[in-house]
Amino acid sequence: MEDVVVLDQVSKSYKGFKLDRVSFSLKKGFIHGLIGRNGAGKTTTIKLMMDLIRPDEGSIRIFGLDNRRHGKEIRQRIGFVYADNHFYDDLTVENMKRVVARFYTDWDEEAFRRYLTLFDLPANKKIKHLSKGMRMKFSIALALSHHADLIIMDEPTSGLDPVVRREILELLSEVIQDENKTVLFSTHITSDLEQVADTVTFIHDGKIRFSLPKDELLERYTLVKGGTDLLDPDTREPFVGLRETPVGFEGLSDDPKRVYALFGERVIYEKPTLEDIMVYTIKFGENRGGNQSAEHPL
Amino acid sequence: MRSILYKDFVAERTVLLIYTAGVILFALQVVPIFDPLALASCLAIFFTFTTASHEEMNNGHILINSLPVNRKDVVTAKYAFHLAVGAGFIGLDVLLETVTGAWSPDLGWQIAIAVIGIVWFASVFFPLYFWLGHRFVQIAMIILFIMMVGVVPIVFNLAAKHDYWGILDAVQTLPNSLLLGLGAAVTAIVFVVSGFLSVRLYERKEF
Repeated sequence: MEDVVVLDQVSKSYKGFKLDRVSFSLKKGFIHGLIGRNGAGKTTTIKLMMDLIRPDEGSIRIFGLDNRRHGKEIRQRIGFVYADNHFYDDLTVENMKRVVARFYTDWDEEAFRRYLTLFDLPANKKIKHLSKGMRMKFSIALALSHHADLIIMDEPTSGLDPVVRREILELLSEVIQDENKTVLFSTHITSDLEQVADTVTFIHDGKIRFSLPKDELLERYTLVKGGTDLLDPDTREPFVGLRETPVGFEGLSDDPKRVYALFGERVIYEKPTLEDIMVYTIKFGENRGGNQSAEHPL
Repeated sequence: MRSILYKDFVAERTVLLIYTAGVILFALQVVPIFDPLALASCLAIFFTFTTASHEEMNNGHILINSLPVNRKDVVTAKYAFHLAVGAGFIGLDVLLETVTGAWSPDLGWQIAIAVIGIVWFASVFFPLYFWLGHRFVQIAMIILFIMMVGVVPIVFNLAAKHDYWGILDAVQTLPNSLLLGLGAAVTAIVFVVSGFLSVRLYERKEF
């Protein structure tokens, strides 16, 4: 499988935050999810890919090219959707489209008109008069109308109502039917990714915790529920995150075999959701007493 | 670069229209003013401030740098747009002054000074803008306004009262062609250095 994006040991420091030697790759023809809480480093990673910020160290290759030296060429093949509005508020949808369209050699006006109709976007309405959902749809319409090979979306569903979110996710699933296209979808709404993502990269405190195919990920982790009397230093060890209450415990483990060996049939085993994996790793990680910062091989 | 210029034009055309109306009103003496050409140059300068402020407000740098462009082209387009607007305002004012018969005998000199003023402004403004960003625009606009309204008229009157401390006489003794050539050469050098510096600063900028 061809790598569309390769981040190799990329670091970027800000005051109070460091993206620390981040490495992962995006395979052609898949929807890749980038999850993590707000401030985990998702937007920084995307900005680095778009060459809006420069890495302190490491390299980024997109379509096999260095993203700094070949930025213009690379961005010709990227469709981008950002969480914040970056359009000119006083322009109408039509005028903003005219501005953006001129930059792309492969602009497809017919496709854009199709998305306008699909999203019910009013061409003559000013950007400032569009709702957040409408703005996001417009942004997606632009991103999809120049036959981009890579679509980068930073929190596209954040703050949107469930109907709009579902529409966007369905559209992404359609887009990826073209196996030459690749999507990177950053979000903290993990349920969105459960629906559409093929692989998931989890970033926390500026570090990649894992980058795995979604199915493999959900196989790898198990959610364990049982009584607190079963917990001791040894049985706590295989948990990535542990939540204890007066009536029992719930823990997430990335070593189901070992957990089964320790607890057998005395506990309940459940398949975790992406949200479980994220929450237990972040919030309950410090309760388990063990290999909290262990990272999975990429 | 044409795409960037088109973007700037579409994004700023309403503001451009308002400033153009100002140039017309002053040139036709609808609003009586001592030197409409100088004011046209000032309007070109204020226009550039306005567009810079507008750009910051709309996260314009994030948009443009996410599109398939080089940062060098973005900087070049900024200079080109400012110069084009300046030339347009000067041209419009000269045309209207000519049509209305308000032609001044030293119009050639006035045009040269106006052009040099606009180029000098670009040479100073853009490197500072690309270096300091939005904060510079805000502070500089306030300072510029105070200078235009308060300081410049006082200094001008003071200089006129003291016969420009002999500087004007000394300058006038030099041949016109030498003065113009010298002014143009220095302006060109400053402009090229400014462009080079702006590209360097913008290439380092993070959004």
